[in-house]
Amino acid sequence: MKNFQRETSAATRIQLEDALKHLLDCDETGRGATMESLAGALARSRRHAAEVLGHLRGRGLATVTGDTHHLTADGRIYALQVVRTHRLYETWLARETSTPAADWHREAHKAEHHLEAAAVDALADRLNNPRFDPHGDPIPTREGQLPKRLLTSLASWPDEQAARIEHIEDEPEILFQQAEALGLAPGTLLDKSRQLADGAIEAMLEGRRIVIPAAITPLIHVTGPQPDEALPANLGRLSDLPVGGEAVVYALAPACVGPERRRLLDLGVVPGTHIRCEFASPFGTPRSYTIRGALIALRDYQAERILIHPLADPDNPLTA
Amino acid sequence: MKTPEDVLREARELRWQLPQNLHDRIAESIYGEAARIAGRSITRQEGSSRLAWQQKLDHLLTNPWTAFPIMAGVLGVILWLTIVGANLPSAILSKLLVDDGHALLSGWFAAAGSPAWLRGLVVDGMYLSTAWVVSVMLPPMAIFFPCFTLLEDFGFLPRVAFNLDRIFQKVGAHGKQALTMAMGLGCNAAGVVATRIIDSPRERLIAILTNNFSLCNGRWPTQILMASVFIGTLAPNGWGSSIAAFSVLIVALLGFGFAMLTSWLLARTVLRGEATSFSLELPPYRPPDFWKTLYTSLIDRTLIVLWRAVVFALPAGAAIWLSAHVPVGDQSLAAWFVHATDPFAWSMGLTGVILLAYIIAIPANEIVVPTILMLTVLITGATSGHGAGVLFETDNATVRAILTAGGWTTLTAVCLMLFSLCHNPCSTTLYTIYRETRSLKWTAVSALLPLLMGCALCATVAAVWRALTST
Repeated sequence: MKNFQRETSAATRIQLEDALKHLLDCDETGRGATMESLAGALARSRRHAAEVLGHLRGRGLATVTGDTHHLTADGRIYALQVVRTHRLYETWLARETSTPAADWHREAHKAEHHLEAAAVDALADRLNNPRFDPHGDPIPTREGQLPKRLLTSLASWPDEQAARIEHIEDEPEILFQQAEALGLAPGTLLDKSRQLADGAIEAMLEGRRIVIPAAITPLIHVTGPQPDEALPANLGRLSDLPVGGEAVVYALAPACVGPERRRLLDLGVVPGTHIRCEFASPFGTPRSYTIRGALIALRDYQAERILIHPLADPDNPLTA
Repeated sequence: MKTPEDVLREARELRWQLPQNLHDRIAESIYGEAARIAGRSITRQEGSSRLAWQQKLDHLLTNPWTAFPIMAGVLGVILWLTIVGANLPSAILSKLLVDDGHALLSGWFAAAGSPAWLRGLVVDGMYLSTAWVVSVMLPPMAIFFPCFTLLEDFGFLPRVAFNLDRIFQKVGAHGKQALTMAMGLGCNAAGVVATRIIDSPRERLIAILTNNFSLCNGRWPTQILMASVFIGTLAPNGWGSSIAAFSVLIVALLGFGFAMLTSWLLARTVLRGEATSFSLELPPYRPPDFWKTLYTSLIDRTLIVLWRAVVFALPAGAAIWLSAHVPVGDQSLAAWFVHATDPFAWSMGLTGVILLAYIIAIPANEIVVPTILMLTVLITGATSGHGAGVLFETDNATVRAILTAGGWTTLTAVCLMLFSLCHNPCSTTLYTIYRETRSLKWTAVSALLPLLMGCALCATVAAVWRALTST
């Protein structure tokens, strides 16, 4: 594989690789990449963008027809490798470190220009060759395969129809942080959604009614849920269980990832586990729960990601 | 006819059609299935709900009105037991090891006809500082650690962590850090070992790096002496000891504040991405096995810490004695150092003697005050009845006279109290930090961070103080 590593300075290489990613993005979505669009993506002048494009053409990584640039076969392989590195690195951050979600993109953006192909493949093996990054973007495979997906933005999703979040755009960062704070994550199910007058969407998210601001809805891409994963109607969250209340665990929320998720599973917080809230600390959080005969303290942000079911529920196969 | 390549290609394509969170769901199902199998095979005793008295006790210990007074009361009683209870055994040990033992050894060396320098180095230097460390450190640790272990075994300490967790969550740390910090009040090295109870790597590292802000029992004497000799005497008659005690309390609370501040800074900067997950088990209350606890806490905590202290005190004693006796030109090594560092120390409200004492007393904070006294006597040339380079202790009035002769003011005492709170951990603790983290980098951070904070703090206090008093 061609690599800019030895030939050019690090700063130039970063610009070229970012330009390749932009061209790949444009090719995938069918928009044409132009000098203007690249200048916008790199946040640099049009002259600079023109220089970078010239460089890419000179190396046989891009071709131009009229105003629009496209990747050549070689250019596509290179661009996919950069994207693969970025998304695998994000997956690693989410699963094996506790880097806050808001930092994933920035950290991965730094790493994508430095990791060698062999190191990336080793990382993929270590993570069991994941297919999706934590934002729900598919990770290009070792063979350079990147599936096209038909996703709808939440902004144009019909009212009242259940939806599963497949992907959340991680830029702009400030909006992604808002989405994350609402508890939205790839894999979460939205139900009974309703568009409000100002474009915001009100929906049920894991037993809680939330309002998703209009600015965020275009960043969220959804599909219909799988037939077997409709959420039960009376789903709640452990953090909403009153002191003295009892419930059965339905599942861990998809937003619960990494060491946090493993720890909860290790404690025996698995579907079907009987939980009773015993008492709260003087500050309200953490609260203590009886889980499988042990008294365990959980903080509110953890309990919020444990989905529960009322104790005696005929609809719930787990309690029967 | 499909070729193997076709099958592989088809498999690769089908892979994309599986739900995104497939792995999580499989893992969840495996755990769930394991739980169901276990549930079928295990029979629990009927009425597995928690016992009524345990529930009542939990309510009492975690209720907003009663939790904090009880916690503060228990900590107060333990500290009181440690300080008061250690007096007598410390005095006995000091009589045996420092007074009698020193005289005896001196006599033996004299009888064997050893040269004066050898006797000075081994007996006045190495033996005396070790004897000092043992007699000052052993009794408080032998009281504090078993008390602590008893409370831990009873189940009280996990409730303390539970109650205080909210504060620690705010600064990005673990509630169990409250316990390791309390343990640090006994000994920072033991506090660092105690961080093993924190199972998330990031919070554990934070607890290790900030444990030094708990005033250990080697520093309490420095605080109490400075407070009673310099600050207490400022107060009107009869209020001296209360004001002194209050100022020590302020320093200890300041330490808690610094620990929180440093935790917050670490959690938001260098330790931001470290792996973390919270869990805290509240075990059922059970009566502790008194003798077993006493034995294990003596072996595991007291003796190990003491042994490390002794290992470091021996060379330190030699260094103290040598620095006072090796002449360079017309002065001793110590005098050279003190005079050279005086201007720098002055900017922090301290003196060169204090800086030198903190360097040669790195092995144990206990010997800081005796070293300061010894060095001050050496530099000012006052007579103390002891030979030069010999650690000694004396009454408050004499201490005040010696130190005032050494140019001390109330500012010096205040800055020493702050510096004693905020400086590098002793070598025993540093070694323990290295053993626990296996990282020279974090060991260096744990030494330099409080040291730099202490220097900045003392320099600020000194500058403000001087600006206020000069007008």
